[in-house]
Amino acid sequence: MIGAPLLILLLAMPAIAAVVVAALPAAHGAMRAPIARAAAWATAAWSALIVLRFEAGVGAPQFVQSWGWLRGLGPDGDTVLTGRLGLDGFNVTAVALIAWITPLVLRRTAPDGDRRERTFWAAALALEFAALGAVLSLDASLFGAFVAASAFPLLLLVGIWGGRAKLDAATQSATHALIGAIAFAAAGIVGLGTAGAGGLAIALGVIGVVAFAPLPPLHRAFVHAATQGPPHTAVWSTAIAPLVGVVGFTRFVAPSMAGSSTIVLALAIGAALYAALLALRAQELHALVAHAVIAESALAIVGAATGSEAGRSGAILLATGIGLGGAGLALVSLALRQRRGSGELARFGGLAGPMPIAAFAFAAFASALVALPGSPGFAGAWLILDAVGDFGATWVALVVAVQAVLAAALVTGFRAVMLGPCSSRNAKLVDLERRDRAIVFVLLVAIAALGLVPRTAVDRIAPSAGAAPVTTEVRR
Amino acid sequence: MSAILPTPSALECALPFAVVAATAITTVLSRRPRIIAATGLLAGALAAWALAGRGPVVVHGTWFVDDLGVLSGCVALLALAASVVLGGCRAPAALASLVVAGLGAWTASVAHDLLVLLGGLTITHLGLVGAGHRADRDRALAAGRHAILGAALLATAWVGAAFLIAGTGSTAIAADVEQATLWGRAGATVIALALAGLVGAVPLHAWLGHGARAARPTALGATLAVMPLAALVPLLRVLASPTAHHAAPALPTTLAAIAALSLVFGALINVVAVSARAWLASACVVHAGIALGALAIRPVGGAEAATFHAIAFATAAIASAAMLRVVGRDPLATLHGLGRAHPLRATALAFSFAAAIGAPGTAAFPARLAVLRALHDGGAGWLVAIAVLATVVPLVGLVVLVRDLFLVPPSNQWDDPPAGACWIAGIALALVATIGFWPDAAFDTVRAACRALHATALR
Amino acid sequence: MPNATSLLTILMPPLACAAVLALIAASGVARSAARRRMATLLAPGAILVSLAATARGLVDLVGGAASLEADFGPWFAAGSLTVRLDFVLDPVTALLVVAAGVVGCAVALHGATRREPTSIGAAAAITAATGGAFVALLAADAIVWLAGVQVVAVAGWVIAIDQPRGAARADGRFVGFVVGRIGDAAIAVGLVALHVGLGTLQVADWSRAAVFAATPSSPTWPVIAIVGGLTIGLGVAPWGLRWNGLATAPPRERAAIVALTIAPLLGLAIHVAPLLVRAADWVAPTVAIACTTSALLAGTMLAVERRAAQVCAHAASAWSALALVAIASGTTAAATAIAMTATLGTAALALANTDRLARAIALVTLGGLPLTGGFLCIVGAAHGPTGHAVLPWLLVGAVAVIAAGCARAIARTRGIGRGAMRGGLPAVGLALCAAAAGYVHTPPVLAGMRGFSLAARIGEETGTTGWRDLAVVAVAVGIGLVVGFATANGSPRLDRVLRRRGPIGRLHALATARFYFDGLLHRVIRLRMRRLGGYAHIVDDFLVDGFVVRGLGGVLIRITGEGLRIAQPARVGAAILLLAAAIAVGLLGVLW
Repeated sequence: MIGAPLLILLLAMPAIAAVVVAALPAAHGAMRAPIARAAAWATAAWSALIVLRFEAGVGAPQFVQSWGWLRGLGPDGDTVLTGRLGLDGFNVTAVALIAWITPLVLRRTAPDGDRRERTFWAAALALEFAALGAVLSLDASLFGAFVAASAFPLLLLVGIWGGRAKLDAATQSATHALIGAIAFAAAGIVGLGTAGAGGLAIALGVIGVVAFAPLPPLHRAFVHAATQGPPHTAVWSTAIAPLVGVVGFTRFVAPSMAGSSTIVLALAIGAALYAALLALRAQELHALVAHAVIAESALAIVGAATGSEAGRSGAILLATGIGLGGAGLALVSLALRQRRGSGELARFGGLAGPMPIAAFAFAAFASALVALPGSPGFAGAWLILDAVGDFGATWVALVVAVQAVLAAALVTGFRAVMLGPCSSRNAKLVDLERRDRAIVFVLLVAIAALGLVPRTAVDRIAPSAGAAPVTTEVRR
Repeated sequence: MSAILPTPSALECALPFAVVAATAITTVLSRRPRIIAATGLLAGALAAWALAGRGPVVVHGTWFVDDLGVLSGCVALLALAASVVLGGCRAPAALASLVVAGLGAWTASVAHDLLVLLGGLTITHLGLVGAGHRADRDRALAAGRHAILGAALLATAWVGAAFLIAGTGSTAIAADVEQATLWGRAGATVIALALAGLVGAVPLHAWLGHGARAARPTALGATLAVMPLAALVPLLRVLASPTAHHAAPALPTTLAAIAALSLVFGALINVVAVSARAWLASACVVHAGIALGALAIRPVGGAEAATFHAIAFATAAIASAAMLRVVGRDPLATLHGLGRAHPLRATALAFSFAAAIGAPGTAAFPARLAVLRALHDGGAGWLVAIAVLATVVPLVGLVVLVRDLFLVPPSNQWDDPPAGACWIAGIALALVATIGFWPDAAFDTVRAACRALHATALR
Repeated sequence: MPNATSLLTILMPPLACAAVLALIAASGVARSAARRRMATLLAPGAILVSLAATARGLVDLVGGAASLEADFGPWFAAGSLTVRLDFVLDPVTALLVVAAGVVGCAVALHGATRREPTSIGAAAAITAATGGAFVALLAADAIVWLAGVQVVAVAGWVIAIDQPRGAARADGRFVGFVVGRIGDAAIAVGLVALHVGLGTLQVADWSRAAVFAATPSSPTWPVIAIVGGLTIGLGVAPWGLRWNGLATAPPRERAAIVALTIAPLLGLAIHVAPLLVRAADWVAPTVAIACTTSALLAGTMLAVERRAAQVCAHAASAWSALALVAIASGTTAAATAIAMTATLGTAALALANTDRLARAIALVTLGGLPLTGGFLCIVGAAHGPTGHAVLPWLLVGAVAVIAAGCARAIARTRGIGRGAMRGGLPAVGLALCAAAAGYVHTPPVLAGMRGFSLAARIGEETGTTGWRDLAVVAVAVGIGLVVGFATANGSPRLDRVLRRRGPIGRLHALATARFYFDGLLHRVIRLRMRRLGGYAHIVDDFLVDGFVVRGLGGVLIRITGEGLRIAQPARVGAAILLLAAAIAVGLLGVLW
């Protein structure tokens, strides 16, 4: 329903809740958690309503909310920089994923009884607001603004509840978010997202994606956030940040590349291979997951960079699979780390015996991450391969090789953690609790649903992927 | 607008001067100098705003009352009023200096005559120097250097004016110099460069650091807000005038190079700033680069963006100065842990610093986007890239600062903040946020003000 | 019965059963042995339902229908790629489905009926693997085929969770799994290239002339990629590592599940046969010769191998190679038969290592299978496009050696050979030759009977029956069986011959060592990848983190900033410098 403020309400819920939670006096401190959780669930429910009302087969954005933000630009002074929110094929799955993963993760990762609980809830909701706003943005500058909004909450979450190197990790995370934000905002102002955008806009857009998605060589912050950050940012980093980055690239940068760019393709494949090799030799569980997510995100970028409808559709679908698989893997890794007191792979081994459900979940989520059949990433990967095929068999072989290396990395990790001899200490570990099992179940159902019937997603994504780019300027 | 409202009379044009001048005198003699100074400056701003939309008109061949001048003058007067309200300065002489600076800023904003313009700038400089803090030897030395370096720049400008007058035979800023001699063209160039230095451009920015160091918090915001703005508007007029077109053809390129230098320099020294003043001074250098870049590449479209950016920066400077008064400390290392003890103060401080460097969500951000667009439309992609870098690098420093504010254990105790500073900080930050999220109204005002700059010849 | 219902009845029961069993396992409801047995019995039950539906479909096919097809619409589509969920049951796929179903059912049944029933999770994985094999076999779209194959592979891997945790076994499974995925990757590359060239991934289109008429490009390189991937996936030498999981598996029936990967892979290979014809002329003969050599190699290793699990692995490799020879020769019927051989035989050999019931199943399925396959292979080699004088003799040798090795393996498990040799070798030998002759001659007799001939059903020419060839094969295989049983438990004379210095001794040492390709692949692929990963970490730690992030972002900017700050003019004298600089710049600007 064009014009209805459905999306504004979607954004307003976590934003208002964050402010309320932050402003609540200490006397009412016990209300913070319920308010925050209620807001997260309300956002999820509202997103479901919007997604259900989303019309498949339509390429143009729906539920568009538009406002002129800055007038008087351009050579003739008649160009308006608009702020627009809308739901289309590029972000429909992302919105659902972000809105639903947040309450699930909050349920699992909240620091109960912590005296800085207020900061946690406010920051977590602010992160959700920033992520939703970014994926809903139809303008590159607005996208950059929302990405910037994630910097401060990240800084607080990682800096307060992180591991040994939390200050470093916090600084790097926030810095990268801001670099990505500014690059995107600047790219938007110089024409990113339009068909005739120049090299400067594309370069800035690529830098923004590399900083935020993230991709090598600016990926260390992401890995640090995953390894040193608290549970919430570990899940956020591995599930949501890459998804937002891929959506941003697919919507804004890819259309501006006028169809294809071999250089971006080569860089993305190189980045994917690099990350996959890092995953192969990862020594820490969260680092393994983080590098795997980076590699898959880079492959999604490859798909978007091909410039074809299949490639872009595949990118979004693969990114959705990354989000679901990454979230699940992060949660399982979190459970293992909490039980064992460390995430080092060398400390695990043979956990399939005492923790069979965790083992199954790990295998299932890893399968989803590497785009095996039954996960949305499978259809996404094939769409990307089909798109890359137009560039030649060598490119296809490279993409497939990266997937193979990544699969080997995750299998190696699985072996190290779940198979092999089980020490006496590991044998006493308790399997996933009911709460964790419920979250795992929900995620697996989502993976299976989208994996077995990918058409439900592709029918909504493909029309937007094949449509003409949405311009960021409005001329009077 | 000018068709609806009557053209201002000479009396109306003189009213702001009279009000401010009277305020200066009264401040010295009064027992409540702060109230008098603040009220007088506010009244002067109101009187000036009454002239809005009624120009452009030349009054007595000396004053040029147009919306741009009115706007910049009002902003300058308001910034000075806010500085007075900040508190921390009771000496009538110092407060009177601030009022005098307002007089000079207003004069420079509406001057049609070169001599009047430079006279106004000189008065502004003297007034700001006069508000410096002398009890501390270090500050006194800094005030002295501020005075000398600023005077050197102004002297350069006077020399340039002499050249220009000799070359054109006219004291008007926008003299018709199609047949200007070498002297005239040299003079226009020298004036432009000197004004650029007063805006804060590298390598002529030396006065800025000393000025920031010398000033009390009261005058810190004024120094950073008023002088660059007061120098920018004349620079706009000079560059928009026929003189500049026929001056050195490489002037725009020179200015662009200076802009790039300022951006890089300002960003890098911002990273290593150890005090809040140094931070703000370096932010001013970056601002100068932004503004000059816009003017150099696109004198027509860039003027609006540059002016908008200058006003946004002025607001941010006032907000930052107010917050420094609130926290009562200057070295950044002494601010560690403020967020844990006083989260609201720390957030406000961080927001004000973010505003100074043009972070998203603050007034300077849309202004900076407008500048980037102007640079891009002018084909200066290289300058866009440098400007983006110059925005990103200080943001990294801001992240480190915010980290130290909120994530490090507190190392100090903090006193209760003065009420005046809190009010000014609140108003300024609200303004920064409002313009940051809804910039249209402000940008429309600036564009309307600059329209006259391009539509009419300044004769 | 409508086609869609018929095909759904084949596909859905194992997959649905796998989901139900997974839920039961996750819920922890069935903890007692009795409940576990009841739950695990669902697995063979579901597979039997599928097999019954397949049999029903076979009856329809024999009765007159060329094939049963069902299209469930597009699975997903974007751009030029449309993946459809359509399935086809034809004589070839029906037989392969039967083979896969028998394996799955046998394994599931064995697991459910033994004293300590298998875990529910393992039963779910077995059923999922079987269901995946069915999907792959019936798929008319190559991507759906690949999805089915991946399900089989992953399910096979998941079963490993429950296996005893020996380091060597874990390593073997891992290597086998990874090599299998390398094969899948090569196939994927070929499929994409094929789609780009032909514009379709429907396997039925690969045999339609009109599709090729519309495109000028030759499918040579895509076919090479697909066939190369199939050889890797099937563990055809030198990719014997593919079966390492089988070779290092403990004597449990679940090891047999890996045989389920053979049928779908060979099923695709059969569909690729028309593409081989259209590829460059050298492709089909090269495949035939290479695979024949591979079969001989694998057979040799199989014959000298003492460990049952290794025999199983080599047998799988050898049979798969034979099937590829048949495909390259253009005889789909032969390839189908060998595919069934490979699937059932591999599973049978794996099962033979477990217990009495399993050995019984193994002996039954092993009876005659190598012989049938060998014969059809000979026919194909003689009459197909790769006909060459030497090739049939190589194939005869390969089949004989394989027969010997299989016989040894079976006999060693029961000590049959020892007893039999004490009794009377000639009598046993004659009996075996007669049995071999009977088995060998049965298929051509059947082939002459309309309705039973697979080749006739799929419209292939079988050529004339060469009775001389049949006799040669029967004798060769009979000799192989005799030798195999006789030497099953060791023979001093033979040992002396094999250990003698000279070519035979060296060959024997080489065959038993078996390290040449395995070690090479380990060094070339696995260690190299690990080393590359190590280099990547060094780059990441020192270059990216040290230079880009901390260096450029930290030290470099700080040094530059400090330098600039110090270099700022700070003295009174700077004022003079300022003035001079301003005038100089102004004059320069004027002079420009």
